[in-house]
Amino acid sequence: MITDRPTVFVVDDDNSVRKGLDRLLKLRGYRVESFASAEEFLQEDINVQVACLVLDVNLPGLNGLDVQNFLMQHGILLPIVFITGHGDIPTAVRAVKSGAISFLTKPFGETELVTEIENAFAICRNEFQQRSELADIQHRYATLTERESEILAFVVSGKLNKQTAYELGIVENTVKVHRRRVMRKMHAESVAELVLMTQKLNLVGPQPRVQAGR
Amino acid sequence: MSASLARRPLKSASKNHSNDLKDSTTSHFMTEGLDHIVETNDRFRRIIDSAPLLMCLLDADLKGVYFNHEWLTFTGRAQADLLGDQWLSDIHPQDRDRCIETCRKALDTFEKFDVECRLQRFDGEFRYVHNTGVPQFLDDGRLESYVTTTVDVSARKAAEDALRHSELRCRAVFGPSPGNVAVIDCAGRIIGLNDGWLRFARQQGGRLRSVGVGVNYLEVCQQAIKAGDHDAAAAHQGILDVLDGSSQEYSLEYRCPTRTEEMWFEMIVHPLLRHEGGAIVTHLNITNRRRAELQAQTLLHELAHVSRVAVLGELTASFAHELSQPLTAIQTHAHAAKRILAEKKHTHAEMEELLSDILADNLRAGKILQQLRALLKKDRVRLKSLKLNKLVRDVSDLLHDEAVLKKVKVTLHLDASLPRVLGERIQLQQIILNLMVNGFEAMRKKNIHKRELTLETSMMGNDQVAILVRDTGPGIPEGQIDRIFEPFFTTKTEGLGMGLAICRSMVELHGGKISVANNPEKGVTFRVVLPVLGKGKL
Repeated sequence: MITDRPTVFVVDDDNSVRKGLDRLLKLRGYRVESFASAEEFLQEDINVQVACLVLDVNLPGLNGLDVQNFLMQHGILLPIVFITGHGDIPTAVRAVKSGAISFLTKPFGETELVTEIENAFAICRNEFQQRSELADIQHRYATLTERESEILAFVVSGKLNKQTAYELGIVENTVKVHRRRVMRKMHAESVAELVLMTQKLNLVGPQPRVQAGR
Repeated sequence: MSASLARRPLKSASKNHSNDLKDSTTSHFMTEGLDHIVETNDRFRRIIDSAPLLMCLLDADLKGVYFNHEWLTFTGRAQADLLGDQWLSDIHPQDRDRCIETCRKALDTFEKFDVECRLQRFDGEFRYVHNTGVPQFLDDGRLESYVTTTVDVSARKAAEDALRHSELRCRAVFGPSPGNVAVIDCAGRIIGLNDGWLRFARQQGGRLRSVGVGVNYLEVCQQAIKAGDHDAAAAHQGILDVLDGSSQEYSLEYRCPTRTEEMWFEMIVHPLLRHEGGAIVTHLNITNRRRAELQAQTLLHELAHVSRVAVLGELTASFAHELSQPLTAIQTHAHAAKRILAEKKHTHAEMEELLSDILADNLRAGKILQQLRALLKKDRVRLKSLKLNKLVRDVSDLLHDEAVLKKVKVTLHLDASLPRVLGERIQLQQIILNLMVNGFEAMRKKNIHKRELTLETSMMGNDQVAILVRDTGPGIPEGQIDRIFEPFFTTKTEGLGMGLAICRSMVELHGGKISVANNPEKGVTFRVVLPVLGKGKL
C-alpha cells in the first residue's frame, strides 16, 4: 500500500528498546511499525514509498545483515539505519558497503536517529523522483519510430547531420526533419539534455547500429 | 647371715645340705625352751600342720624351730633341713638381706612384721610370697617366738606387674603422642590424660586448666554450648553416640582460636574397649594441614578469579551490548518524555508510564553492572543459602547477547520445587558460566546447523540437586572424555585449559561432583551434582 506518511520500520528483539523507539518515533509524527524479529518483519508486505528500516544487527535467528541481503536480492528499496550495541567495525563496514545508510551504536540520541531517518527518507524521495523521471523518459522514448531512435543514437554519439545522412544513405534534410521530431518528442531543449536522457536510459554504451553493421 | 649361699639343686635331699650353713646353724637347732612347744604340744602341731597355708615358728633370733606340713610340701624339704638359718636359703638371694633386715627391725621392737619376697618352690621356681610374723610372748613379757604365716601371692603380683607394664606401655604410647588424649568413663568423667593434654592445658592457662582428671568432659561441652559454640554441640552429641555404642567412631574438625594464633584441631572419639564402657577422646593439632588446605583453597580462589576475569574479558563485547540495551531504552524514554512535555498535551498517565519504564530499564542496567562487578571482584568466600534456579537464570540472562551472537538458542528447564543449596554464589555462577561458554564454543563450528544449549535443574534423590548443561555440538571423542577435567587439557587453540579443571575443584569444594557424557543423539551433557545441605569444606 502507498501512504503519504513516511513509515519507519523498527526491528529489535529487546522489548524495552523496541517499545521506546516505537513511542518516540510516533511522537515525532512518523508512522511506525515494530517487529521483534527479522522473520516477523520479512513476512510483512513492504510496499511504501517513503520508508526506512531501523534494524538491530544482533538478532536471534536471521540477523540484521541477513535482512539486508534479502532486501537487496529482492530489489526492495528500503534504506537501512543499523543500530547495534557492538561497536564492531568489520560488521559496520560490511553493512555500509552493502548499502546501509548508517550505523548507530547504542545508546544513541534522538537527534542522531532522526537525522539518519530523515536521510533515509531523502534517499527514498530522491530515488522515487528519479524513478518517475526515468519512467517519463522511457515513456517518451517509446513514442519514437525506429528511424527516429536510429537518428537519436547518431545525434547523442556526436555525429554531424551530414555524416548521419551518409551513414544511413538518406539526404541531409531528411535527417534534420527526424532530428527536430526527436527533440520535440523527447522534450529536449538541447542536444546536451538529450544526451543526459539517453544516459539515464542506459543507451550511451552501444554505438549506432548501422556503423556496427558495416 | 651369709648371702653367698650356693644354690641348691632341685629336690635336693635334706642330707646333702651345704655344710657351712649346717655348721653355722647347728648350735641353734634346739633352742632351749622352744622345742618343747613343738615336741610336746601335739595339738599345736596338728593345728599348724593342717592349716592350708605355709606356717613356721621362729625363735627370738629368727632361727627356724618348726615348719608346717604345707611349708615342707612347698619347698620339698625335710624339717631338719630348714631348722636354724637353713630356711633362709630358700629365699631369693636378692630378697634375703631385705627380709632379714625387716624381721630384725620387728624383732628389736617386738612388733609384727610383714615382708614380701621370692621363695623357691620344690620345682626350683621362685614364687612371690607374703610373710606375716606375729610375736609370741612369755608370761614374764619376754619375747618367746614369732609365728609366721606365708601366702603365695604370685598370681596377684603377676597381675600387678601386668597392670604396671600395661600402664607403662600406655604411657609410652600416649605420653609423647602428638595428640592430646583423654580417657573418659561412661558418664563422661575424665579418668586419664596424656602429657600432650596437660601440656596444652598448661599453655592455654585458665580456660583449659579446668579440663583435668575428674572433670566431666560432657559438662565442659555443655558449658561451651551455652557460650554459643556450635562445634561443641556437635562434639557433645558425637561423644554421646560413641559412649552409648550407636557410633564406633566420631570425628570433628574445629577451629580453636588461642591466645597466640588460630589453631585447628580434629577431635576423634573412639570407644574404650572395656566392660564398663567409656571413650578415648583425642584432639589432634591439624593446624598445619588446615593451613595447607586453606592455602590451596586460596590459590584455587585466586585462580578461579583469574580464569573468571579472562572469560569475562572475552565476553566484554556481549556485556557492553547487554548494557547498551537498557541505556538505549532509557534514552528513548527520556526523549519521549521531553517531547510529550514540549507538546503540552500530555496526560498524567503517559508520564507515569514513561517514568516507570525509565526506572525499570535503569534497574535492569544496574543489575547487569552488579552481576559483572560481583564476578570481576575477588571477594572473600562467603557461604550462603542460595536459590540455584535464580543463579542459572542470572547467568543465562547475562549471556543472552553472547548466545544471540553465537546463534545459540538457550532453553531453561528449571525445577521450581528445588530446595536451596549452601554455597558460594560467585563460584556457583562461575561454574554455570564456564559450562555455558564451553557449550557455545563447542557449537562454534560452521557445519553445525542446530545450536541449542539446554540448562536443566532437578532433584537427585532426597539430598542432592543436579544442574545439567546440554549442547548440540560435535561431542567429545571417547578417548578424551576422561581427561576433560584435567588441568591444561584443552581441545581449543586458545585458552589454558583450566576452565573445566577449576570448575571441578569448585564443585568438589562444595561437596559435589561434576561429570560429562556424550548424548545419544548429539553433543554432550555436563552434570553438576551438589548436596542440598552443602557438606563441603568451604
